[in-house]
Amino acid sequence: MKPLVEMRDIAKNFGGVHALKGVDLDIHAGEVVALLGHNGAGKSVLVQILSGVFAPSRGTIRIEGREAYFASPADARAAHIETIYQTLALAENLDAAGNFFLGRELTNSLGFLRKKEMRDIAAEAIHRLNPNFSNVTTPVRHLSGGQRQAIAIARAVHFDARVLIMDEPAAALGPHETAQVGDLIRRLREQGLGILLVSHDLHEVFALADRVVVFRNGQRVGAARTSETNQDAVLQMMIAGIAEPSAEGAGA
Amino acid sequence: MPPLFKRLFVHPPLAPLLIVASFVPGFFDAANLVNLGNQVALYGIVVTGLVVVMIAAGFDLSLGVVMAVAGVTAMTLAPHGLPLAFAGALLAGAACGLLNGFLIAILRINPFIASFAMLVMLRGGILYLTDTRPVAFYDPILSKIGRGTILGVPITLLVALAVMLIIHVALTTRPWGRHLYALGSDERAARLAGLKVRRLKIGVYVLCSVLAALAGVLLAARVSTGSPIVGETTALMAAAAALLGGATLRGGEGSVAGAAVGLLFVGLMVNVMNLLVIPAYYQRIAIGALLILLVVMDGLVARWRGR
Amino acid sequence: MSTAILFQGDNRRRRLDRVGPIWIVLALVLVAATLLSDRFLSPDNIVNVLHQGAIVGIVALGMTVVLISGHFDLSTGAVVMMAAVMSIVIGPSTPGLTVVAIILPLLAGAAVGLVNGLVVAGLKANSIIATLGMQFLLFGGVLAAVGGAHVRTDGETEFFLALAGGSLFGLPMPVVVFLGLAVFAAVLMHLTVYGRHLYAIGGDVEAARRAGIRLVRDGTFAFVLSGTFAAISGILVASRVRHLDPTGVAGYEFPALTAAVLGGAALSGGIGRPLDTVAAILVITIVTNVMTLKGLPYSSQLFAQGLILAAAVAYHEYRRRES
Repeated sequence: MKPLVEMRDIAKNFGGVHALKGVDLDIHAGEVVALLGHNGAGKSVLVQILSGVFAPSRGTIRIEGREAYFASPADARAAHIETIYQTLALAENLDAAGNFFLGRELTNSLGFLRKKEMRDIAAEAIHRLNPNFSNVTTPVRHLSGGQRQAIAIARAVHFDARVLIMDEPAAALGPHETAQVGDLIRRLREQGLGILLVSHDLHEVFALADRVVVFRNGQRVGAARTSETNQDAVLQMMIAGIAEPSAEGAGA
Repeated sequence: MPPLFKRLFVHPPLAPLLIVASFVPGFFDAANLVNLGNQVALYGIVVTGLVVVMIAAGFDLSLGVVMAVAGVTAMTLAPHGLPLAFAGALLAGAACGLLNGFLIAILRINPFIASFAMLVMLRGGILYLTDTRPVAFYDPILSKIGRGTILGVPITLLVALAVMLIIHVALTTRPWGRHLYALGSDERAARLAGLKVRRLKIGVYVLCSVLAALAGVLLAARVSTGSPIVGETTALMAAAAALLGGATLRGGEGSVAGAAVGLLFVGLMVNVMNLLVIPAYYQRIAIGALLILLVVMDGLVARWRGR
Repeated sequence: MSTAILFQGDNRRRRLDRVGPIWIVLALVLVAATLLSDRFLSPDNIVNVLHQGAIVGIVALGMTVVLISGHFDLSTGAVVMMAAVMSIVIGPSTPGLTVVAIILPLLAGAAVGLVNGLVVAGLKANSIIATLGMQFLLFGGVLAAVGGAHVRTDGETEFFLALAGGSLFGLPMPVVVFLGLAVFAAVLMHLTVYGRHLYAIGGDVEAARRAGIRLVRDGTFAFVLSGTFAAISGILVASRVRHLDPTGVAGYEFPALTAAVLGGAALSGGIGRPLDTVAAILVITIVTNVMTLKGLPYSSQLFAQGLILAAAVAYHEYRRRES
């Protein structure tokens, strides 16, 4: 089956620093791929390239078979790639509805905001994730971590995402909310989304992901199906893995 | 404390000041009220521009000089026709705003320092070009705009109200407004949401300078003279009014309504001090102290909010 | 990502940083000045340049210290004015009062610095607006106190005359004071624990706090220093004249800021060297001097200074972001 996302030979340099040295990654529809690695391994850089924050220094990205160039996060969104950042990327002074529709506000024919409509849609979308959430008009600053997460996730899911990137989704959550996120990820997978999960939590990875890809020092050092490996082996790859040759090994 | 009460009685204590003012002899004289109206009008235009910039987490110290530049430009071009005078002055303002925007949004220089440097450059520049001499030119229409009234309300005040209304509507009902608040609140989040951050920033500086230019033209029209030395204290007075009205130096906060209350307070304060014949220098002490107090409070609020 | 990669590109830049590019600029400016005006090298003019540079330079040194600590002090212009007026008004002509004419303005400058420091470092207010507010306040205060008029004195004591016209090793007294203060500031910043604290505070406040540095105390002292330096400058200005227009000595904070930034002090704090500020102050003074010699009005000099500040900030911030 053709992958939703094909990244080939992606490299990224910042001045003299080679953050990514030529990596490949595939994401298929209906699968959860976990990206593992220590800090500085290059995971967040890859995520930022896929979500359009910056362009790669080298390499190609294909979305559903077609080559794609993302000049900005808006382009990535247009390609149906939604990202939930670890810091959630919410503007504290705006309310839930304002953040939900940030950058893609609904306007009438004269260009004025359709506030009520946005409030209603946002409320409904968030409610589906977190039934206790009702305050779409309170500034995000006054909301709890779990509520903020709900907004970020609902926002990503609502806009017809086909690829979802989640950066350390359960980092700031308690066990109950973590379980909820896990359920959501399973539901979305069943709906046919391709999910890229960035994490350093091996439990979470093995509980949720179909495949694991390990990065180290800006290179891909290993990959496996979670059903065919175990935590120790993966840990070993993270600590001592050797770079794999690119291209052929992408679909492990 | 219900917000409206707070707005009128506490921060700033506008209503109490109004009550005090009503006891000052001469306050309700027609001449004084018109004068107050004109003052408030000019500041209203300028403060509105500053508040928009502050919402986007910026600042502009150069607004006073832009007023001078616009006034001189207008009066220099007026002999060749009023539309040209207006257009030229507003374009000059836009150019200043573009420069500010370039320094701040593209070269990423601290907005205070960048606009401070602009302030000095422009002041030097306009003093040089005019050889420190004001440009006088009398045009009856221009003078009528600057000093005239319609149904007792100064025309400048009507212009100011129109400007404030337009900006208020834009901030609250257009995506642009939300984008500014988001940008001021968290620039990274705004960028990740796909907002064109640099364009937004440059835009607010251009808007602010154009509004300052408009105020400068109206001021020049009132006295039929374009003076290169006006606006010495404008930036700080506007800052005081903006801060009083709820705008913050961190960004993401502020409103036209708040700005209106803030500038009414400052305007009333100055008016009362003038009526009581308090010398100008003492007024400076008062405004300076007020500004320090406001900045301290701004810092405390920011810390309390965890920013 | 090995450290070897991180340092490779930096070595050449670091060598340049050691010297401070401002000294090269100074050399170039000196050459340009001698070429542009044949009056530049006349002894009278040199003394004039050094003297002007000293007055602003003292203020710039204080500004550098505050910048390194991560803040701005834009009230110094008014402090200079205040100290100058106080000094003249108290009356350097009565022998007994000479000391008072020097000590009191110094204390006043320090007091202003103390208030600034407490407001900015203590209450965490925005330093630019707070010190501009203080500037406003002092400006009004001084002019209110003298009723907007010029101030005069009848004569000076020997000490004052020595201060103004005296010289040490052939250099005018103000220049000697300036160089002395420059050495003092350099020693303070580079060789004392306090200096290291200020660099730390300016560089990373959180790290400094966790390292146990007393932020409020050290930060406030930087402002006290700045205020005192400005007062010294004001006293030196006053010592040269019998008759002073207060508004004529306002505005020193701008060239001082320009010099500090030109010399390499970062707007964000944590970087800067007093001796580089000396070079920068000379650059600015020479530039304005040449402009004056060429008959260009003060307004054009203002423009030039603004341009220099903008260019200096742009250059330094651009380079900083590159690394």
